[in-house]
Amino acid sequence: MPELDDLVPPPPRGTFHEQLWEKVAAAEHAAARRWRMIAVAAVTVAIAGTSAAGVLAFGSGGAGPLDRTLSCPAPQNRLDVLAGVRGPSKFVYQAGSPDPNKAVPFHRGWPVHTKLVAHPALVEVDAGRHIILNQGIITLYQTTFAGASPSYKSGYSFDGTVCKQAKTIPFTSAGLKEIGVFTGAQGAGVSAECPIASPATLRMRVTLKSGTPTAATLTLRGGMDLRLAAYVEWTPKRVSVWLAAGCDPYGAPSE
Amino acid sequence: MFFSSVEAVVAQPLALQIDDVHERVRDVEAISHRRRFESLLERHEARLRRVAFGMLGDAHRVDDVLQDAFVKAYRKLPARFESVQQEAAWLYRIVHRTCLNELRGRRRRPEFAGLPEEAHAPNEDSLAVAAALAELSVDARAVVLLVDLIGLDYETAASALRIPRGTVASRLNAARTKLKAILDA
Repeated sequence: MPELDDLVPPPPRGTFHEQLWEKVAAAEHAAARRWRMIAVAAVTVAIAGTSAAGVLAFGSGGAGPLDRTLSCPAPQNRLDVLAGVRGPSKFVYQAGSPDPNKAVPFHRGWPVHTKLVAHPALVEVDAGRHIILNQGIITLYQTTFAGASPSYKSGYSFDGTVCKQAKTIPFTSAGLKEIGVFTGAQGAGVSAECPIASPATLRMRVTLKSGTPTAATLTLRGGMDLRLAAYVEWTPKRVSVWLAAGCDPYGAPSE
Repeated sequence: MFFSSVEAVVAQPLALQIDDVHERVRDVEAISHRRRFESLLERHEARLRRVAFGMLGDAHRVDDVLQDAFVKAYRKLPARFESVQQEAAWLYRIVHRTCLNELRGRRRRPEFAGLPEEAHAPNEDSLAVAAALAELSVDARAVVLLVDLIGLDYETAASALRIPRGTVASRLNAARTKLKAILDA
């Protein structure tokens, strides 16, 4: 009588791992190319290791709640939703050309700059981060469509380059799956990739205190039918996340 | 940490040639990432292959589906996992979802099943089990494969499938009964 343990999968073809790494390289290349195109459209913000979150703000400062709805493109029909509480500071490699006269740490024989950076609380919708190599200069590019974090210059960011104002959409988590509530100070949160039909429509409401965000609510919808993809309630110490079933989240749990 | 390791950017002396720059980037960032990923595969690949075959029931598609899943996993590999269980749940979830996408795609566009490059000749018992699994729903199939075939505990399987632990138990119970009936028939 056959049993479940009798199930024998086919052996991997001889070139399986070779092909796998070719696919990985192709995927990385495609992502970089996608980002170069967006960079040309002046969407991207170059960040040079200035913050752990890797973001810069488009915000213009000011106080009081802000509530905006934007319509944005969704490259390759997917966007990232990030939401988390703050975490401990850590060392990162720092971009830029190091001063050869300065002592720098070495890694495998190469000098590298490192920098201790904060790991701020954050909520944002972006289209991913990618390394671009251009004439020997490495830059990290990212498009942030909307975000709030103490690391943002003005506490918030609304893209005004490729996104445009749109009709207000409601805040609701109806029909979404609750991913979890994240608390503490160890960087707990969620980073999710959500399939989104273009154009994406997002709404973020941010409450600021002296230019620092104290709370934000964010929702994301996709396509002309405004299909709900994500809903986030965020404060620097507590984050609640709801996502559509199609989203692919991973995250760190609360302390 | 939920931020990706891509924030690690390497300092670059301008005098370096581009090839050198590439080498350094790989050295500092990509190689460690790849090593972590290869280590992950070493520990899980054989079992993931069994799960993928059990889910798909199609020996011709296992390699391609696994490769797609591994590419996704490589690109999303978190900086660290809280536990071995979290690591397993994360990886099995990606493979499971990729299998589901493949099955959905197959429904939309039935394909002619061509011959693989190297013919796979499984034994009769294996074929019988694959055929029996195909008669289960995909949800039932998933719990049987994760718990009974590769031995994940209920919590990890629940996390991988993003369903409550109790649902794993109830689905497993029903799936075991049905599978046994099919295999006994």
